[in-house]
Amino acid sequence: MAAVSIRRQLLSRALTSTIAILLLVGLVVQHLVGNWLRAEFDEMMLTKAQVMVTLFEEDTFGMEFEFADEVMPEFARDQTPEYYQFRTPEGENFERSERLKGSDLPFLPDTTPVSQFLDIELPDGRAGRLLQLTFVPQLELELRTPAKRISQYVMVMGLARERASLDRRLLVLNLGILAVGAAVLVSVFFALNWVIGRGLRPLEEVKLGLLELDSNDQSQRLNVDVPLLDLEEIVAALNDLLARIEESFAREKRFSVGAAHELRTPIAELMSMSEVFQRWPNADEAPQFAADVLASARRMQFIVDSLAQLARGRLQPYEPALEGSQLVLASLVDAAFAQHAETARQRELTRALRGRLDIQVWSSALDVSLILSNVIGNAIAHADAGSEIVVEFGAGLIAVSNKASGLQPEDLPRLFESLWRKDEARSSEFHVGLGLAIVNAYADRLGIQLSVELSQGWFTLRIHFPADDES
Amino acid sequence: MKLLIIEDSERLRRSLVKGFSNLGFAIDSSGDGKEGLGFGMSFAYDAIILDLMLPSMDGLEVLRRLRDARSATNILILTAKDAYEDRIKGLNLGADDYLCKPFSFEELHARVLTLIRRSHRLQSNVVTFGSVKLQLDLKQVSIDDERIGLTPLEYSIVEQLALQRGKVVSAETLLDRLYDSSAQSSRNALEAHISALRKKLREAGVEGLVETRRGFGYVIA
Repeated sequence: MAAVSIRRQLLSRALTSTIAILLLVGLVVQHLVGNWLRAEFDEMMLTKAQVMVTLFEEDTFGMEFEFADEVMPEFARDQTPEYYQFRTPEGENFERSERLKGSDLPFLPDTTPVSQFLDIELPDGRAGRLLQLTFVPQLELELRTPAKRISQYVMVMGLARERASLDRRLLVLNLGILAVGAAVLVSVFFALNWVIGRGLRPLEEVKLGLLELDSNDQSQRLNVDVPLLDLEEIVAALNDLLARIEESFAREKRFSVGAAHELRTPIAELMSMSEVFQRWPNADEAPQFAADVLASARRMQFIVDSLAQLARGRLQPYEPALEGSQLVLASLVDAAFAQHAETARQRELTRALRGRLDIQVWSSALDVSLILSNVIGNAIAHADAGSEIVVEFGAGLIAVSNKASGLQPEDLPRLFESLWRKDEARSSEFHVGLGLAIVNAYADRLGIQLSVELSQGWFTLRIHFPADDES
Repeated sequence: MKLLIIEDSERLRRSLVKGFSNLGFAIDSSGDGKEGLGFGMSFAYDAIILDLMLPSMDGLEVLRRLRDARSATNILILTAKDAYEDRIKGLNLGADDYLCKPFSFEELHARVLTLIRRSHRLQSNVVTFGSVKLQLDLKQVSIDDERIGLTPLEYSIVEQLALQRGKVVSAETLLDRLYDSSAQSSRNALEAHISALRKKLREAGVEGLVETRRGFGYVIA
């Protein structure tokens, strides 16, 4: 989908809404005012018809219509005349205006309603409107008896006139609505354009502020003075993000420096040993020299392997469907102990497995094995010599505990830091300070929670598998 | 000349000890910060090679404590920490030089010699007195450009006395500078070595270069 600017999108949506509102308002106005004009027009016709009806009287000789053209010349004029016609409900003509020239107005067959309006074509071809009025003529005074009132005549009157004036008014109304609508729309467009432009200016300032940030200086922060709560929150969120990026950069820098530091020492060993041996060759010392070179190379290999493992744990996303399988945790712990059996034997360590040894989880066998190997290896390397390592199994949980006299509470927050080592481990050949960092990276990858505790000289590392993975 | 090497990598420490020993240095070494500080406080050295990342006590702390104890020994920091701030911090704490790992042994040797030379206010690695020429970097003594065959210990005696020319150096100081601190040594053995040295110098035509000041020590005047 093509990206659209906020300004354009806001303008487009605001204009669409405005058009919809204007359309609705226009239709309502057109309907109400149009109906009012039509009602006014009809009301005038009805008033005139009612006046004309008063000229109709029933007397002893029958029906009489006393009408004079002079009073209502509109019926007699040559141009745009109006028309009337009186007749019985049965259709027998009684009286009609002269301009009808003997023709009939188009009466409706149903004469029951008192008054009915309809649009017609006038005899002269113009568009017109017809009022059909059914009425009882007034009685002469002498005839006004109850019996006569029952048998009074009923007459139907037709009054027709052109409707051009009404149509003109309706046209003016429609054009007026359209013109006002268009004017409002244009005004709204310019007003919105200005308002949105002004409203988005702080956002533009934020953008410019972001563009001015130097990507090489992670300590920089966005400094935009915008007295708008929403934007202040955005700026604060961006600055928070910048702070986290800075911390992340610093962490990666520390890690890179640390990794380089770890590799520098074995390289220095190889260079120094080679130079010295080359300068003062001694056949008796050759075996020791070869052993030292091999040990330095192995140390470098161990460091590089550990760094590669850490990078894989951090970078590769976990895909449960592909990598996951049902794992019996006790078996994996057993295998981890077997990997470090020689060190455990040298340090005279024993082990105890407790709790639910049948507990199973759904996870990556390779990664969980790596985690357990590092955790158990760590416990074996750092437990007090001659002590016991206790592994407890619970629902989705493994807790590995060992006596750790050298560990202090202040060490706990640093345990999972890359390349961090206690002094005792600093000179150890195969401890780079990456073991628990690798554990942490792979735990993150698998959604496993880790927690550590130091209580009465016992260090405990708990591995909490995700609840959904338990079985 | 005597060096103290404080470096936690055993293989690196061993190769440095071997290299500098072959160059005629007396060496004490340690892989631990506190132990290294103990050596530095207890014995006199011409130079100390000090790593920073050490077990039990950080190298910078060792340096600070040595300087607090008014030790004027030349100290060269040898570390994998190559950050600008680390160098500044080390030098500001009183280190005389800073060398990052990995390094060339030749360069380290040259820097150690430079430090020693500077502390003795020497312009070059060659010290001459009369027809005798002492080459600090080559560990050679020559007379009228004719090299004389001295053992490493005999050379070290000449070197110690030549670097402090005109000053009487006691037998104890000589013993301290010539042997590593764990070595078994005695004044009799020292006198035997000096006697052998004098004989070689005399055969090369130089008489009375190393004088004995009874009850005080030895001197090259």
